[in-house]
Amino acid sequence: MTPRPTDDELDALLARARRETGDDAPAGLRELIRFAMFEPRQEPATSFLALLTLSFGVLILATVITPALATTVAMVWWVPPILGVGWIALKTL
Amino acid sequence: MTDAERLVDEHYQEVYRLALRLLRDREAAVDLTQEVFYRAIRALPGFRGASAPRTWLYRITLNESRRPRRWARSIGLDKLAARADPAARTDDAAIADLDAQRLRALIARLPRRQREAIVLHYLQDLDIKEIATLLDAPENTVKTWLFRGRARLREQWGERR
Repeated sequence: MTPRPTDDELDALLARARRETGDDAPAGLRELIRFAMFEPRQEPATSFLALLTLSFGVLILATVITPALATTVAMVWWVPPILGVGWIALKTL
Repeated sequence: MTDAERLVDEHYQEVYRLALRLLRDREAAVDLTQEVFYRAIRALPGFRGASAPRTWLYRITLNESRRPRRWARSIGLDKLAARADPAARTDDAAIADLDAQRLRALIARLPRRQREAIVLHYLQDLDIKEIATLLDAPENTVKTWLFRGRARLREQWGERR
């Protein structure tokens, strides 16, 4: 246990803490701030929008584009073999 | 010189000092100062001068310093204790230095409102009225926080050394 400081002692300690934390900012901080001020930065909202767009794209791919492609292939899959057979027949005749 | 550049030139030193006093870590204070001006410059077109620019910047500094990531980077009490090696420092100046370090560590342990009031009043030299504006509280409440903060500092100082 140490004795509690008096009000005057506490004031002296606070004044010392104030002096010791009153240093100037490191050299170059002003330039760093000026540089950083105009630097484009991705805000959380922007990240969220990007993620939302990506998710929407994946959803469209999975629900519209892929089934449409599969349907198209199912409808015309027989065309290339027939064309191939016809071409071979023409070559042999 | 643009308004933004003038704002930086006139206030970056005091914003840095407040950041240092709140976070107790120079690197974190540099980061926080940049963040404050980054946000301030973007909000500058909407700033109508309802308060002084310094008060406005201090408010941004306080708000940003309350984010957990800022405190996570500041020096913890255990690190501070590890740095202070009483055996290696026996002269009066070193003891006084340890006392001041210890006081700053105790300030960091105060409840948030008391800590901010103590830092703003005793370290940053703001008057009660400006602190009340910054912390959105009546002046009498600020005085209470200062009184309780001082009482707690004295009490904790006497607990153990």
